Amino acid sequence: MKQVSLILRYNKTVKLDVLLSENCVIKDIIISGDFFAYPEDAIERLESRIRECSSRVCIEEAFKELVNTTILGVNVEDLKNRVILLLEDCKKSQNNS
Amino acid sequence: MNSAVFPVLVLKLRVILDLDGRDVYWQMALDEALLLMRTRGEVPNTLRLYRFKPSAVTIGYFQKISEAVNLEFLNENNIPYTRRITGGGSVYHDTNGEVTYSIVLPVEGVLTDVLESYRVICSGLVHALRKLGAPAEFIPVNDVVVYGRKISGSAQTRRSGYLLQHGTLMYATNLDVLEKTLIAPREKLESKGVKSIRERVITLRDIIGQVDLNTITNSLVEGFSRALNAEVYYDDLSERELNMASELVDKYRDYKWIFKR
Repeated sequence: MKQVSLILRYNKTVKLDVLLSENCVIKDIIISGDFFAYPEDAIERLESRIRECSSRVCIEEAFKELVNTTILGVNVEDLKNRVILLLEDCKKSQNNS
Repeated sequence: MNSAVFPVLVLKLRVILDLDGRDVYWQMALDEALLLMRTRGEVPNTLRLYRFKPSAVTIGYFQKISEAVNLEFLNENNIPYTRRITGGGSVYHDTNGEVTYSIVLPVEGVLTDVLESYRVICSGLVHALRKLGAPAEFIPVNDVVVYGRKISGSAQTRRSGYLLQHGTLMYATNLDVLEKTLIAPREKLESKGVKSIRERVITLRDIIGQVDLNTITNSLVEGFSRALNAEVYYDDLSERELNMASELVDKYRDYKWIFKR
């Protein structure tokens, strides 16, 4: 397992804590910080949808969970791309080893 | 349309001055109780002004507690802490230096858009501070600043067509203690162009000198009344509200809730 943490500064601060398996499956993700989401539980649903994702498509699908959610202080598109990037970096380093 | 014929509706706003102070678990439970009861039509639109006794810390709904506050310092100094149902950042609530407001209102008109609702409600704080002689301004999403330094922060949640917004006004907060209790990520401080939390905040006392709490609460009531075009009336908490808060208070003491993230 590989733990990756990333602090992202938008209007608010977001921390991504991602746990990746040896074969680059997202086993856990926590999105924390001082941002706002309406409704709040959309973030928990998003985290839950991202768990077990191992592809860009899966993450993109998961972020559709936020379609009816107002998020303040976060660039959601960038956040999604960061998660995808973490996954792709994992795959690259897996292929290189 | 002619407003003389179709007058602008004036919001009725019940005001509760609840300034004796109670602990952080109770205060958070009571705020949630007021929101829940408002959604059920059991209480009217309400503005509550209150204090935390003893001084305490709250963290935002999405924050990781170990990264938002100095747990070692809080535990060593018996400063209680809990998680809010609202987002935003960690806050130090000084019994003798900070007054908190909470307000429950229907999500309608200018309050429909979340960002705009922060601006409208926070303008109550801006009016109050300006009346007291502090040149305050609202900085989106949720801050009120004076001379570029934060004097007030607010946070809002919404349930079934109603909103709860609560927030602070630091009139004489002990900033030495505040700095020891809270943790701000380096990235956040850098983005604000400061090196420490201390450099980012200010109290009313720093700006206009000592002000008594009565004067501050009167200004707040007037400020919110103006911001919301509301007609205010004073009231006390009802037995039912106190009972509902009693039912919710254990949630805020529960480590599962506090350490959820």
